[in-house]
Amino acid sequence: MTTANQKRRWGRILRDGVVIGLAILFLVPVIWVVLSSFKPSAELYVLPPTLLPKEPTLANYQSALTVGNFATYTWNSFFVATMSTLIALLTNSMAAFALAKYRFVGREGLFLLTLATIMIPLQVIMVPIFLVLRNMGLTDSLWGIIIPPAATPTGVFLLRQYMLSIPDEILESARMDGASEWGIYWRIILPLSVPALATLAIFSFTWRWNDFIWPFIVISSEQKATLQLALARLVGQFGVDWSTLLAATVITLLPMLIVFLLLQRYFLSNLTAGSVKG
Amino acid sequence: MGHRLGKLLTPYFFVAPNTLIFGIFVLLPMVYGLIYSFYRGNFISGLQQFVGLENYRKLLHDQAFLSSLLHTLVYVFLVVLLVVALSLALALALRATSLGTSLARIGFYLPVILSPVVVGVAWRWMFSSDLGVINALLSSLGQSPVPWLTDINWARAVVILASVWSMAGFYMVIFIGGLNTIPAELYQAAEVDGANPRQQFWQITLPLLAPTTLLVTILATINAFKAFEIILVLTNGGPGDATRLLVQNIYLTAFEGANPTYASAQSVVLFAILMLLTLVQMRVSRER
Repeated sequence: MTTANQKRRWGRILRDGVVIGLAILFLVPVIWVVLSSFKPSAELYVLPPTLLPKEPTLANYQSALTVGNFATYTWNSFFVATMSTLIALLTNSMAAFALAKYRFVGREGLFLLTLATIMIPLQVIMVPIFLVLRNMGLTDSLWGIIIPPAATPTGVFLLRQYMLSIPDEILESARMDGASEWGIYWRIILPLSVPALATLAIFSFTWRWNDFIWPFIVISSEQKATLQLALARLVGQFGVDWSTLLAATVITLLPMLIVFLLLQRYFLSNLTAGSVKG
Repeated sequence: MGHRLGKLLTPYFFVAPNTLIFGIFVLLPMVYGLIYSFYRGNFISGLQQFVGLENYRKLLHDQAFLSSLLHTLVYVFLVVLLVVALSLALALALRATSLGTSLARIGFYLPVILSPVVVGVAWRWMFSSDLGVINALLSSLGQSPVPWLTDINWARAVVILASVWSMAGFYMVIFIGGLNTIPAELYQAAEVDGANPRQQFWQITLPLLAPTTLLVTILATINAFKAFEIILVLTNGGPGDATRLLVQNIYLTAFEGANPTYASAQSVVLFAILMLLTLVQMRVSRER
């Protein structure tokens, strides 16, 4: 009996080892970028390449941030992702509150419309949206990539489902005590919805940080480029400067990597929010 | 009286900001796009002439459009096939919960959170013909280097593999969710009846997982039809137009070819395909 148990235990340890090994192998494209980014540029051209940098250096990062202007792009990306997420949290939660807690003419229609817009990806409307933004003077402006994607239908849907579970009695008794409707939303509904708001904040920040098509259509000047746009432009040049490019790639992926590793539970379990990209 | 009116308007006040953004930046462009597709025009002077279905008729004989459509169909078919197979295999291997499988799940999911641009750069760095580590490995094994991104067929293969790599972890999680809904008693009963693991897979797992498999297939198909960024960075649609897909063709038609109305007609075709797939998906999820 003990030997059978022992056998099973060893089997499990073996399986764990194998799957971890395969996962590391799967991640080779990322690992290779990270390792290469610490190699001095001369070492990048040496054949055969060594796995680890022989003389690890931060020179590539230095040149990406200063010469390559990636400090500006990083700030632009942070600004865009943060502002767009804040706007999404405010407008989505307001809409979700009305859809969950009020009866009004047009509610069903509005809810269906919200669901339907999930079906309209940016890829389909990129030509007319460029013209709309141009008419509003929002092309080549960071606000042109902050405001339009903020009305995420996924966010409205997620928050509404969550707010439905907040009992109406709480709202009624607040009204008895003379609370205004805005006060109810701001002081009762929002604090109670923090878990759902946190989920939306994480996903929204990830989506906006990784956005490429928005800035690709909207932003033309170099100073206003986001990391994704700057990276794609750099790789499209003739005679790609890989040493700068690799460091810039790591700068671009690092915030997402940190967010993911700290909050991986949200990504690996929360399918309601994750199943639709917004 | 004013108080009553205020109360009546409260919900509209709350939905207004979100609806306004929706309306201006999603619905309006959608309607505009549809209207443009029946016109001739450009970015400078706007719509010039109503031409009815001419743009759509032109599509039927447009070599660039038809070849991008064909490339997209082949790409979608192969990507979806590989994504479903890989994510199902990963889910089966990692369905048990232990420290090892949890860590492995994190590893296989990680590419999903990377931006498509980063995915493109990482794969281009590995498969670059002169500096890429793959060719370096090949030459150290005495093999001749392969022109991964400049040969038509190899470029297509690399583009497909990079896409599969970036998507598989996402669907793995959906498959694990599906596997967890299969009652453990079924497997115990099957074991008592002497069914081996292979029989258990074909007789229990696969049939009971069918709804999840269908959902994954449809979601992956929708996503594959929207592919653009990874390929833009990896091959820029090349060599020639070998890896140019629908979305890139729309972009090129509109912005490089300065023909927004003709590009709009192509967008409408893409939208019709996505709409059809979404309707199938809604049907399927309702039946679950």
